[in-house]
Amino acid sequence: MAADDFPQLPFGTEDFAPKGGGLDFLGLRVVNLRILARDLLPGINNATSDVGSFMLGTWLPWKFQELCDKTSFTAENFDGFNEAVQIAIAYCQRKDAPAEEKYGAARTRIGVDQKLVFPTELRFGKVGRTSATSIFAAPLYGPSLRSLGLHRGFAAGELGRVTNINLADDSADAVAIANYVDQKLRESNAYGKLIRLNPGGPTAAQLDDLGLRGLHPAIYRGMSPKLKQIFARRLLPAPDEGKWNGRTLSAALLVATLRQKPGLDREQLLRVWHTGLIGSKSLKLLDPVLVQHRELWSLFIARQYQRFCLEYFMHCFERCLDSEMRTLPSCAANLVSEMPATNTTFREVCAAEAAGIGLNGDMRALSEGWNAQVHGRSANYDWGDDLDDDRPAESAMRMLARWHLRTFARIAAWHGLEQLDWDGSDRVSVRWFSRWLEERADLPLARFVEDLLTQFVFAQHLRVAMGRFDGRDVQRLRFCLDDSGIVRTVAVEHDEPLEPSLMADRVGAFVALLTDLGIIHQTDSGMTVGQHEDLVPKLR
Amino acid sequence: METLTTVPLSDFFGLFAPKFLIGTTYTASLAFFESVVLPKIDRSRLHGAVIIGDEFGFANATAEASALVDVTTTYSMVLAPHGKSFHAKVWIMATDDEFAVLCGSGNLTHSGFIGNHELFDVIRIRPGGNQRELGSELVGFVEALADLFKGFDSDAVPAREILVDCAQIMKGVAAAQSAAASREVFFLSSFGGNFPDQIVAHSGASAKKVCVAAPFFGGSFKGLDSLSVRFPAAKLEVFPALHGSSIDLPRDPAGETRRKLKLWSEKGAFAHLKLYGFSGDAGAWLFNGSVNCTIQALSGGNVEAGVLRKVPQSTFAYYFKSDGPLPKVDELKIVWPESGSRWLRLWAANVGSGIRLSLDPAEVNNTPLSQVSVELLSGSQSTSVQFSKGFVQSVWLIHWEQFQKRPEGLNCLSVKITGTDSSGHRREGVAFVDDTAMLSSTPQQRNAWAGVQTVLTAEAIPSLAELGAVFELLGRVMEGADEVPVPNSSSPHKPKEEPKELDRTEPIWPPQPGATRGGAGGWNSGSDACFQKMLEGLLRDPSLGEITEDDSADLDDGEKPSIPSERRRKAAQKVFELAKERIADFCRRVHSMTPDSVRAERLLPVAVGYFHLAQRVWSGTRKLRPAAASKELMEVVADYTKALFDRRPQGHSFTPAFNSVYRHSMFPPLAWDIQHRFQRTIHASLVPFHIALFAFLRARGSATFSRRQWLTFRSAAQLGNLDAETKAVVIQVALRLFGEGENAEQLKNEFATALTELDGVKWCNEPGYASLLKAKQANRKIVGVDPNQRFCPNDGCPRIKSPEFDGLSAIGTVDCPRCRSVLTPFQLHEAFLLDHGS
Repeated sequence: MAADDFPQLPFGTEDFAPKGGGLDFLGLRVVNLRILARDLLPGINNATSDVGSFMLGTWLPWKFQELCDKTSFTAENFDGFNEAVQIAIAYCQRKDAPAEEKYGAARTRIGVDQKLVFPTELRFGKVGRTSATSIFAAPLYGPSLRSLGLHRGFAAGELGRVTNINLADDSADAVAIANYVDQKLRESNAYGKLIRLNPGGPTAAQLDDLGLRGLHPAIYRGMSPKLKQIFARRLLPAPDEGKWNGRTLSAALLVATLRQKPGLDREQLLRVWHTGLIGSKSLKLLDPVLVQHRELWSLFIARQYQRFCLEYFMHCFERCLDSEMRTLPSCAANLVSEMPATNTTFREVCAAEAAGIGLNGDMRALSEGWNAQVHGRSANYDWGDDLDDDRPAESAMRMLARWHLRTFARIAAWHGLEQLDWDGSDRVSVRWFSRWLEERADLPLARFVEDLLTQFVFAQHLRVAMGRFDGRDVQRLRFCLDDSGIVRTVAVEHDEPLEPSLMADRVGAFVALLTDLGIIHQTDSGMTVGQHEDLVPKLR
Repeated sequence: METLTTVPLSDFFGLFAPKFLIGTTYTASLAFFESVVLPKIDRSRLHGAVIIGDEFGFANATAEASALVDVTTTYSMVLAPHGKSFHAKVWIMATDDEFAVLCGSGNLTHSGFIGNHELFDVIRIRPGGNQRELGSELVGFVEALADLFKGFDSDAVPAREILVDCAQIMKGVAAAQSAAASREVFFLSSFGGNFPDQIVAHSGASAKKVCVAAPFFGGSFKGLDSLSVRFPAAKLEVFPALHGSSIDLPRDPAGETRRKLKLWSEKGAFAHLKLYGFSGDAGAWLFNGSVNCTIQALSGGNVEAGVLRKVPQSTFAYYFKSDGPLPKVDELKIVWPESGSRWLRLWAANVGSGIRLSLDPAEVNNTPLSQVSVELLSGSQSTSVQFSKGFVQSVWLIHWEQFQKRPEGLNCLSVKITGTDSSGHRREGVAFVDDTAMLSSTPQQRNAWAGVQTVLTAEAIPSLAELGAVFELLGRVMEGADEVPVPNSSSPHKPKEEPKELDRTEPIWPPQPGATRGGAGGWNSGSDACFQKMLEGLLRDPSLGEITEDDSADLDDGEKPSIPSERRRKAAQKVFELAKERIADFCRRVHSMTPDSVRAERLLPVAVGYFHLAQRVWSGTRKLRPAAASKELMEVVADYTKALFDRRPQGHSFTPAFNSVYRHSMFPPLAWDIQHRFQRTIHASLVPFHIALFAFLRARGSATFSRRQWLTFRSAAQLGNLDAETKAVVIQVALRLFGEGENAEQLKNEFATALTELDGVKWCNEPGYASLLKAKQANRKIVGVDPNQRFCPNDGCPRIKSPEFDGLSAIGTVDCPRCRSVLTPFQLHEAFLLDHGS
């Protein structure tokens, strides 16, 4: 705008702030994700829950390579083949499809919202799909196929640029998997109609037949033990120069746990790993590698609860802002007023929680007692099933106290785990936060809460939101200072106070893969060790 | 006029690239400023920026300190040393040719700039105009702001000099204006006296009607009375803002009419405007600004400002159109928060060796402080130190060594002082620690620093302009092309200094403790300082970014990943291509470079900077660019090692002097040349980085790995065997540089293998080395020669290039067919001598 365009009179203002958005507003999740992705369950994600999809995802690029010669190996041909096959795979998973009825549903159903009316050209654009619903998309199986060594990346194109042509790995395992799928599909009369460059226009019946012969992911739950063994080698690899893959260790830990306590569900399993207790008994692990891996899971879960607690306080803080409280002290005072008046310091809150199970003494005694007695099924378990969501401030504080009771003595058991200190004060590492709580445990509770809100909610959020802002895209600030004090920013797309959450932990998907392999047997009444538990490599 | 014109204030801040930016405000959210306003300002010409806030607003604003990035480096935020309210809301952008002013009722907050009902005016003084008097009024305002800091320690309060310099260029612009034949616009501030008198001086006192729309009246009629006295014939109509169901006036009117203002159709927002209207025989006038209808504001006790305009009657009527009588209201009760301590007015600056703290001279009577705690805060890091006494004088220098550790991070540094004053009162004060070197840097340096900050956070992508500025900065640093900046040299209060001669040959990396260019040590000044800070940041671990599409399967239920827009993807591609192009330029440039003493000091660290920048840009843009590939990074690595550690063919146009050391067809490898001619080996802090590059090439790109380059590096770095500790450090560096998107364990193993192989590639394992050993055992004469000269330098041998000596270009030996000496390349000879003596 030129200056002359400004009115030569007083004028009002218009909004020019960037639109709101973003996630992980305290920046704590990335550390949890790093523990999970590097050490606990690397190379898979929460969507990779069907062995069959891995099989088909391996076969698809392998088949394309097989169909091509030097001149036909082009990105255009790959797109045509890939999209046609993926549309067919999704078609076989529609409701009432013969394969769906015969083999059951895949756990992660990819592209099933496509709109397919025959006759049609089998291209994503024609059926309302995009590359985001491709099996090779990043949030689906793409990175995992590479991580498990079933893909070896993308074909190189001109000028060193990478094409979108996925390359199947040429290892014996990957080839065996691709061959197995191919042999199954060849049983269908419609094989030649779809499985070729420039796929023709297969009929619905032909696609259904292909679905029954191998295009439906659930078929592969019944694959031969030999194939299961091959896939298990990829999923649960043997050690590489003495270093075990986190997936293998997690599988071994799962089997060891279920042997001692069959029938656990996913939540109970994680609580066992968190506390090291099955009921009032200890989980017995003989192998020191497994012991350490269990401690790492324990640390991860502690970190999950820590983040949840802090986001819970952020939720409480935003409720205060919505109630026109404008300063940190007034918000802190308000939150404390919602807590029982009997506890005047954080230490007293901790002591009160510990007293609930008959403990007394100093912090170490309380924490050791808590770790010895409070197991996953205890009424007082750290997660706080017994806490009242309608009293969020009190619940957040009690959950934090339980976290401190667990962590204070537990840090000794986590000794040597670098993850304990990851990202220090920037991302509130477990050890750093535990020390912070202990140093302030005797402050008046209002001051303690004020410090907590100041450091871990207000400043932490501002720092994370500002650090991510590049001046051009999305504004992450949920609140900032204003004329009257701290206010919620109107730029944030979420009108409601932040809902705290736990990061999805991949355990569901992992257990599903182990179930497909027969290592775990899963029913409504929980998990037990399956008939193929021997597919988990022996640690010694 | 049908509806009130509204304008996004970003239009004002985007008017032109200012040389100076001055802002005044009562309350402030610097998080809002840095994330919403500052990105709208073109900082390519910015020499100085200051925001002045009220003590109350400033104290609140410090709560955001740990999140701020640009304050202290791009702009200075200071509290106004003023006993009463500092309440003006004026923004000035000035260049040598023009200046523009935004003046109104809104503070530097989301509410003030966007959310509330506020009114602003814009005044622009441009070449060829006839606004000399108006311009002078604005100059006077800035000069008066500068005078607030008169007598302050200028080293700790750079704000004053920026204000003085800004006033100076504004004065030049105003002086170039012609005088107006008649005036209808005036800029009034409390520095000119009380407002009713000033308004009467321009509008006359004959107004028949005076209208006031304001949120605050001080809970009394004193403000309104002061208007009635000056406009005795006027009927008073008041439009008080509703604070919920209350107004800031006594419940019952005292003769004035009270109404609701109709100006906005949307009613939800708080009416924070302060607008006065005067209508009578002398015409109609509007006065818009920061001035509440309180006696403190109107009398000139506070610092206030506004714009007085003569307007048509219809305009006056439009602004004060009534929306009916005021409903039944309560009296507003304002409760100010209680504080256990009094605010300590202080300012702080980083002077290299430590922090220079300076008190408001008015505070001196209350010093020294006892039981003093000094806490430094940057981001999430903090450190504190206790003193029994502090501020024995009004200026206090605390050295970094006095703190246990120095918070280092990208966020600004702030300091909090608590203590007891000489009257026994508890005092507390916070100041942003201004980085005077950065604040006085050139626009290019500043722009570069903005780019560096974006690159270092690894959570955003720098703009093309920012990245371009960073690369330009690297170029200047390599050539030592900076002049020592003379901060604010136009200040009339300071004699103009001549640029000093820069000692460009002192080591630039690592930063030299005790270097004195920047004042009291530590960082250098200007581009060098910016570079040193940048390199230090680049050599650290990058921070973690937000979860993107790749990780989105790990999101919580119902959440969506940040999906970048197409615009962002394209921007990322362009940014990467710029980085690639600039590093290619750099390689081309050094290809024919003959180092002098300046470049000898600077080339290697600058090259490391180039590489890291390219790597960070590659890594930062990778997920946004569909065509991104690891190969791109490998090419950068290969180009880098080639540029520094390989021999370089001389161009046809290269015509050295007869006695030049470069009288051959090839230049020697740069790093080796620098080591031999200037005795500068690669600094130990940069060695692991270089080993990591070679290990990467060895592990991933065997075709691009060159034994010769590696051996040259070994010589230039005087590198011995790779022990376990070195290998561990190198692997960490390698993971940082090349680990993104890779399987860490696999990569570690690859690098471990590559390092073992690299360790075996040493001079003594080369075939030529064995030949030398034999020659030595046979007591033959061994002569080290430049491998490019292709002749025997011994007396009696013809100094004519001959193919017989071609073998010297390999890492081997050649027997001179005439004198039978064993000729071998310098580098191999040197390594041999190190092991076996002469």
